[in-house]
Amino acid sequence: MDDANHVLHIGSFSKSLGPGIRLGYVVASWDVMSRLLTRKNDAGTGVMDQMIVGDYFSKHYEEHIMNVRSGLRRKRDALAAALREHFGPTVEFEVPRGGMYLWVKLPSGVDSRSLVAPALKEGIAFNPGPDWSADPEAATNYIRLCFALPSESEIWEGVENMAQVFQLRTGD
Amino acid sequence: MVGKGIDYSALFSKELPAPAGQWQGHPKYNFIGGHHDPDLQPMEQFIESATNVFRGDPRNLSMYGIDGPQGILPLRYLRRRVLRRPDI
Repeated sequence: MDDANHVLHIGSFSKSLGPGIRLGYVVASWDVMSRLLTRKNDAGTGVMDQMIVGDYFSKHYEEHIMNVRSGLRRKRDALAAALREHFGPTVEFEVPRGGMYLWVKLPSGVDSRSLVAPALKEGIAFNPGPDWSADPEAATNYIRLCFALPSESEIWEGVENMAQVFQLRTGD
Repeated sequence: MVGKGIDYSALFSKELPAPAGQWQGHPKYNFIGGHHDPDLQPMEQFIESATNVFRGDPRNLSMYGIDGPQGILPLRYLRRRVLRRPDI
C-alpha cells in the first residue's frame, strides 16, 4: 500500500456492505499499530460481525463490489437526471465517478441550512453542505445527497418535491 | 422503577451538550447520511456465512478476541489482498 510508510489507512465496511455492520479498520505499520493497541480497551470488537463478513468477503468480494457499483451507478444516474429535469440550470453539480454522494451547488447567497426544516416538513431529508465540509462557510450554498437508500422512483419524486420547496423558499 | 422522582437534570454537568430530541422516524425521501441500498445486501450469502460461523469452532464466540486484539485473521487477510489490488 505504502512502501514509504507515510500512510495510515482507515476504513469501514459501512459503504461496501452497509452501516448496520459496525466494523472499521486501521492499516498501519507496527510502529503505529503497537501504540494504537494500547488504547483499545473495549475487550475486543464483536466477533460475530467480523466472522460473518470475513466468511462472506473471502468468497464473494470482487463479485460483491461489482454488484454494488452497478446498483449505485443506476441510482446516481437517476439522481443526476432528476436534478437536471426539476432544477434545470438553477443548480450545478458534477456526477461523481464513485461513492454514494452527489454534491449540489445552489445559487450563491442561499444558505442550505435554512432549507432543511421546510424540506423535512415535506418528508425530504438532505445534508446541508456545511455539516459535511472541512470548510463549512465555503459550503453554505451546497447540499449533499446520498442516493443509495431511496429507490429510483423515490429519487425522482423526492427531487421534484425538493425543487418545489427550494423554489418557494428562495424564489429561484 | 429505580430512581423515580430523582431530578437527573440537576446531576448532569452543565458543560454537557443539550439533551437529544425524541427520534421522529425516517423521512419518506431520505437523502441523508450514508444509508445503503437494501437491494444490494447479499442476504442469502449472509445466511450461508452465518451458518458457517455457527457450525464452526465454538471457541470463536466463547473467547475475547480469538485471533488477538487486531481482529480476526480472515478480515485482515482480506484487507491485505484488497490493498494490493487498487483496481478493485
